[in-house]
Amino acid sequence: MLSELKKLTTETVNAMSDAGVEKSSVTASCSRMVEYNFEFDEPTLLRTTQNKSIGLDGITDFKNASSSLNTWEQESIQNSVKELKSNLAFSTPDDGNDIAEAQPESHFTHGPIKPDKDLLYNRTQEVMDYTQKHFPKVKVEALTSTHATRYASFSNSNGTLFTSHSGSYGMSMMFSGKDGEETTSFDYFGVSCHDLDKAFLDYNSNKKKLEYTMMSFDAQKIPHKFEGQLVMMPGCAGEFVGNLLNFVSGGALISGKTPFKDHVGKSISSQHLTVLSRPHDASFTSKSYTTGDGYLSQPFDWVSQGNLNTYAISLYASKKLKKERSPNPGSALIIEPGSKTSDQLIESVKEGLLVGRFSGGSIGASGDFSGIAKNSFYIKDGKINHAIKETMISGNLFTMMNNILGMSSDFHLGSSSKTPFMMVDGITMS
Amino acid sequence: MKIINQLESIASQLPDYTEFRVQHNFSQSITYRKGDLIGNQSSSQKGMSSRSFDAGYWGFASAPEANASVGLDLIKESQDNAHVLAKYAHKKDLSIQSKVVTKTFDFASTKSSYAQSEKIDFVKSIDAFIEKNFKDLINYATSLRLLNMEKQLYTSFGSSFYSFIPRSLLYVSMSVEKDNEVTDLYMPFAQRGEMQDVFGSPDTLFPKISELYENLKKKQEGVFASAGEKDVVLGSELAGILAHEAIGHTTEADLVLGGSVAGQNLNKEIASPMVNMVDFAHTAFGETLPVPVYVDDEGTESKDAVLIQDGILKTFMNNKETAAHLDHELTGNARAFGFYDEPLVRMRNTAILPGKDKLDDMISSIDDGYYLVNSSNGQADTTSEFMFGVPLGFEIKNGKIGKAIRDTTISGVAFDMLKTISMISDEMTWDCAGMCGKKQNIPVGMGGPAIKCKINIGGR
Repeated sequence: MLSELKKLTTETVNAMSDAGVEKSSVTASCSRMVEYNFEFDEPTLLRTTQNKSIGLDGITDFKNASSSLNTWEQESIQNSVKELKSNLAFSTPDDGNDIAEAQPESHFTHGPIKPDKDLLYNRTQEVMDYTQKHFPKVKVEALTSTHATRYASFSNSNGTLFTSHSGSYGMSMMFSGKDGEETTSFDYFGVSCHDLDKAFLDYNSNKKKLEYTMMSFDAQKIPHKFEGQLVMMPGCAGEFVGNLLNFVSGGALISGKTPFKDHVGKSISSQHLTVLSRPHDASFTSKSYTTGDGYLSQPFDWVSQGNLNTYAISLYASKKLKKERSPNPGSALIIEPGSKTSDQLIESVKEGLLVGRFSGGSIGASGDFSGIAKNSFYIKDGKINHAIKETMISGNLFTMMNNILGMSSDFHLGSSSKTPFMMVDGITMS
Repeated sequence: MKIINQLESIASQLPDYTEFRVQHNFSQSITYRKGDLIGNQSSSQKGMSSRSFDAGYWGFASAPEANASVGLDLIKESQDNAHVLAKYAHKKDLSIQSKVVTKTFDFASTKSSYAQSEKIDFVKSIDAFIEKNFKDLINYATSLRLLNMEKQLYTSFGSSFYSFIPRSLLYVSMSVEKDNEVTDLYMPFAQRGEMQDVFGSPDTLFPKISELYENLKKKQEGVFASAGEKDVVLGSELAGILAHEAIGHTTEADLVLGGSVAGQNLNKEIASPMVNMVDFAHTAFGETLPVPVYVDDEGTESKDAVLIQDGILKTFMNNKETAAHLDHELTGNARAFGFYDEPLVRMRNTAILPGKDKLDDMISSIDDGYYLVNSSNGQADTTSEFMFGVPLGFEIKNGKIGKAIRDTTISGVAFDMLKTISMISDEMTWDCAGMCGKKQNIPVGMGGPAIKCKINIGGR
């Protein structure tokens, strides 16, 4: 398969060059997936899919056009090259358009290529059985488990050739509590892994999430409007940190919609925030060996103790901004854990919330945000008091990130992220 | 009948029970940002799928081909998948309904397609108009997004359909900055139809784009909303997304079976008696709707699902499996986005029906509240608790529109909030700019009149 893909991408690059395209990049891939679906507490569907793709990207006289197909038929590809050449003629020059210089030929492989379908089913049924036995009031809305494989090749007209094959298992579950006529908010978790050696529920704090749902009946409104502290669970913390990092990336600099112009070496948050980009981290099941613009990915330290080390800048953004390209565009993020456990952070809250999920509007350049605290609990004097409902939290992203009180030592491991709990101060709850 | 003529032979070879679908999605996007063409892409996804039902279980298989030989292999694979699941688990006593229907609904344009150069020039003209006329913008972007979905379905029970449904969307966004603070606003223009049927000369859009700029300037000078429960008028665009997110999702039968609060409220009063809400299949008020579905992807003839009638929750939206579990009638709500996707319970054109009030009277009836024009994003819950971002709104003071407000959020519990509705306008708007995300993203239509209600608003 890999040799076929390699031949396909190199020959298509050559065909584009022959057609007069000045600079070209071609990515081709082939993927397969096995997926078990459970709904209404029982198995419903076994789905197997296969797909293929070829993506063509061309630049001539700084003009860019691209197209993608899911067929490798020569006639279709030839037509696509012709169409792309024609589209380039009508495009507009942009001095940001370029391709990566030649990189060393590289091959990457990780994860299981062949699925163990029986064990995958058994691991999925195990989740359902455990949930029904130990959490009978938890209603599983959707439980999905997968094995996915992908073979890929990338070539460009500067002579770069990358190939890869990868595989991974995954599981996700969406659920809510149901007791008579009382329903709790839905919650969810997911797992990405390279083997099926341990139960899906033993990853991260998945069982704890089921416990939180059981604690979510009899939800009450908070006793009064107040300004206090939040302990954000990892999913919520990652979302807010991600929002902050969007403002120190190439897109925000090009649009001008950021308060952090010329901030390299300067503070953008509390010293409790350190963010590392580690595309090859051994614990990640989804690794980013190469960048979308054709470079080998390298790690970098994005934010160190609140100070911005560099902007995350792609090749296009580096040309537009006349700034140095970052070692990767800001993927595979590790938010450095702190010294206290999440339980210790909760114990240190005088009055505030433990927030599982923030359901809010998108955060604009002003940084102002407001939204509902979902899967969340009221904390008073260090103790979780009760589940909450209809509670809005509001504040300013940039102010909040300067008011981080700490990160937890325990963290959530995602397919390409590590995120701890995050405690912040000065948030209005109403 | 472009994609599948050579596959008609498969229709007579389908074993019981099997659905066989051939599909081609073609999308194109062209984006200008501040004079730069930053996006000029097209994508084609073509393939086949087979879904089989046996012993209470579903099997599905798909491949990126469109030929009879691979099609027969897929049919075998989907049957095997259903058997495998039946082998793992116990046999389910689940019987699904099927009624034969055969239809074609083709919304392809009868006009010549725009050439690529014309499409690029169209977007470029709008970009140039913005640059020429609105000098103080720090950022602006115009994006044209076209999607054609073409499907052919055959079923073992005799139903079949062909459909071609195009959607054209133009998205314009603008930003201004003052005292180091950035204010954004955007506007989508979307309709069913190919570009040549939806967009004529770019000049026709200039008045709307100028209005967008004027609202952006008002918002830049806007005030923060005062937090708390307020009397508001929700504009028709916002009412549409309210219908979809906060009420529609809770009444999808798969979510009902998953524990949604709507389950125990069937035939109960959940809204003011003036509220009526329908998930329309394809036609309403004599017009073909933005996302017309005449036959769904399970081969069921689609019909309107009357969700709320005079304030009473009347039914849910079903596919074959949920209808079997609930012993309900089929509504034809099973839809799949790509050839590789299985049909799920999805909304089609969900709307709160218009009332008898005039928008001006609704605004003048409020002493201290807000007129909230549209929504940036929204989320809802199994409890019917919802949240929407509001990028454009205005104060109402003593019955008159006042200052614009800054970005805010509204929230509530739909089944409570619906009971506070006291006025509904006599006009409604339809929109199909959004993609609904529920395992698969898929285009949906939503509509509504303006409604007056009480709602929680975020602010300072």
